[in-house]
Amino acid sequence: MAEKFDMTRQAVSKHIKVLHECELIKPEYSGREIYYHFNAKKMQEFDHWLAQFRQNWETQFNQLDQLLTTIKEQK
Amino acid sequence: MNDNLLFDFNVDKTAKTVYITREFNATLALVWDAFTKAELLDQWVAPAPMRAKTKYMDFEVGGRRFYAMISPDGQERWSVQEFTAITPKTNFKMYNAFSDKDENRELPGSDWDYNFSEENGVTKVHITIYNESFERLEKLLEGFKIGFTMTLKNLEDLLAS
Repeated sequence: MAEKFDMTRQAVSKHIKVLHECELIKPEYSGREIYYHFNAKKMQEFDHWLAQFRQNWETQFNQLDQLLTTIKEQK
Repeated sequence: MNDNLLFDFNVDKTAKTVYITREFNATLALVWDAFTKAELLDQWVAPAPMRAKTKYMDFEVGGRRFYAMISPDGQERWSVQEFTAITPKTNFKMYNAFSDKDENRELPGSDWDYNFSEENGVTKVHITIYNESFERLEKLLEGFKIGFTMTLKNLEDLLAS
């Protein structure tokens, strides 16, 4: 893995550790080896979380549309 | 009303950068004012029934805007925006951070870059937010959740009437 990503083994371990902590990858133990699988469900949760943020912006901008219309009508 | 107006929202998770693009059916002069004048900002930046209150705003390089988002039950979430660059009716940049009611900032904050352009009476606004941490986004959401639920309630009432 370290060769594939052009980083040190330590760096790869650190990345794996963080991804694991975030539950973005799931370990599967097989004797002395660990196989990591991508956890798509967790990524989806994260995207849902971000979608709320998008929704806030949408709400704000719709309010701005209304305000701009009001100002234009006043002129 | 905004059926044909572009709205783009993208997050580069690894770069911690948020990109937002929105078009408005108004002239550049008017949209610029809506983003840079406190009395106009306060009328739209908080999703109803949350409201925004600007204590003061010096829109000049090195100047600050100190404002709060206030929930219906009176809870105030204060923020400080410091303007770092301004090119009138084209671009402005600011450093945004949460703060307490005495203007003590919770660092680090995030860097905001606004770009404005007009074509055929439609004004496009590009917003780029750098160094946005997920932790801070979460804090924002906490404040907005009440607002959003209330917005849905408003919609429900509207549909019922």
